[in-house]
Amino acid sequence: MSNPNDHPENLSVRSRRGALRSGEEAELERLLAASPALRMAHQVGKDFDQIAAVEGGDEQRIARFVERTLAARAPRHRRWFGRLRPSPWMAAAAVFAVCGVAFGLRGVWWPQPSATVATSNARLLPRPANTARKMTAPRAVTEPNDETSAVTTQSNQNVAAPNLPTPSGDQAAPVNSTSPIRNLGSPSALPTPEDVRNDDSPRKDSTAIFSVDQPAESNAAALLRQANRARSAGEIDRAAALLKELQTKFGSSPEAHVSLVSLGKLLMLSGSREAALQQFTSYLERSGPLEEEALVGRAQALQGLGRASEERNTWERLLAHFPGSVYAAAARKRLVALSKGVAE
Amino acid sequence: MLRLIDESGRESNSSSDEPAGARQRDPLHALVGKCIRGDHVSERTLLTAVGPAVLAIVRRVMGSQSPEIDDVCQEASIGLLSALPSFRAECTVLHFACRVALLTSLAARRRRGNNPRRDSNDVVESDELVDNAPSPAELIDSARRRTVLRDLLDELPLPQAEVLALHVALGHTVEETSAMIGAPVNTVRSRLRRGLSALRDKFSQDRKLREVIGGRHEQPE
Repeated sequence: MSNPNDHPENLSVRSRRGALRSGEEAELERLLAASPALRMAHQVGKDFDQIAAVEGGDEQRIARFVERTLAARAPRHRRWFGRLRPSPWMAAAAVFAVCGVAFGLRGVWWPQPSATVATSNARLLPRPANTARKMTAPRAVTEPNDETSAVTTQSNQNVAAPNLPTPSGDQAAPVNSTSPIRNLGSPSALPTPEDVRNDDSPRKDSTAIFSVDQPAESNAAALLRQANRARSAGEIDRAAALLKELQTKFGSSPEAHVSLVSLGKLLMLSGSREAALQQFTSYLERSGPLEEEALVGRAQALQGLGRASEERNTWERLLAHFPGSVYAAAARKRLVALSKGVAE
Repeated sequence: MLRLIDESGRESNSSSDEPAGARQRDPLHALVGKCIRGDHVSERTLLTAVGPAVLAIVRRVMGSQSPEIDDVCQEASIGLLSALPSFRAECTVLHFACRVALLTSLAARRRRGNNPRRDSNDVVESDELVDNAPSPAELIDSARRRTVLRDLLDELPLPQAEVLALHVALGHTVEETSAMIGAPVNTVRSRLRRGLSALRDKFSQDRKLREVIGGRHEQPE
């Protein structure tokens, strides 16, 4: 053992990480042969290492449980309402509200002259269809269904309110009009640096949700969401076709950029390594939040293609840019294997 | 993910009674104060940054095909945010989150009780990053050994289960485990020794598993 104070158990851990120093490999072999307990722990540890640290769709999964967590904790942030101290403005607002309610009830409780009966009764009659549409259509826009949101936003002037779509059952998390949750189930749901720096406030989000003029972007986002759902359902070919359509129709959109990684992973699954490599490489031409995943995908594609030198460079780039990455252990292990392969 | 953190917030959120070294080394530490104050963006950034590690731990402890993974991850995230006021910066925020995720997963397994079918899907675990894919027989043996360890985690006293999981299942060194649980190294080793002894007893009860401790640590088939 290079460090006499080191614990034997740590040698096993370092071996699993592919980080054994020179001479430690023989030392570990000796310890494993001598200690059944260490041998057993080492073997079971390696068994657990076979569970991939990262799987396809993890980014959506993480985004989903993060959003669910934040939504579940939302009531805590509203406690400040309880600590508000009375102020003249609040008193005025309360008086105004009471007067408004009283004025509204006047027509119901007060005896009215015959000339005004028709007016007040008119309030209780069913509204004309146009009025009803104006009052109810925005509610439907705030809770868009993935496939139908674009249709709804474009045609909400012409569709009667009761027929408007409601949220589908496979919505990943509860969404309401004030929630900042957007595009759940898609990689774009992960916060970008811009999101974080620009203080992603609920007011900004609610404005975005109410907006109805998002033709290209909303279609690109809808395609990406459909592709993600198809991928989750195991419909790999359909997902790939949707992502290709997204890249063809909305090539300059952020969703198309994100889709390069998603499509790359799908192509890897189907064994098209060369095509997958092109996707990952295209993604890496611009910076983006999925750079880490793209680097891993590129390295795996290069590994499959047997291009060891480029693969090594990619793993090294990953370790240099993301030293704390969850892929770091796998990257180091692979680099060790590559160096051994070169030596042989 | 760590690159999302605003460097300027680093000093403003550190309290004087926390170890300065831990603050300087840990890029996530800048977010702790803001999260405690209920800053929504910081909470999101922190959870997203530790999310992959939390998911990996939950997956290892619960089994990669467990239907409860999402729920346990959410529970762990809520637990992390709730426990942040008690965070003393004796380890990194990521390690703190890992410990919360581990304890949450262990608690979820114990809550679930004995269900013989619970790990039945564990045999088919994906293996995207491992270079030389093992044979189906080896996969079955691996899954069997993982299941034995997980079952043991349900039975052991929690401190021993925690150390055993951190070291064997999650691959942390003795020193890392010591820092994560805030216990002396010798205590960790002692718990680990007892845990491994119990694991050895389990292995010796199974003919196939006995081969591992009987001198053949490579797969026999």
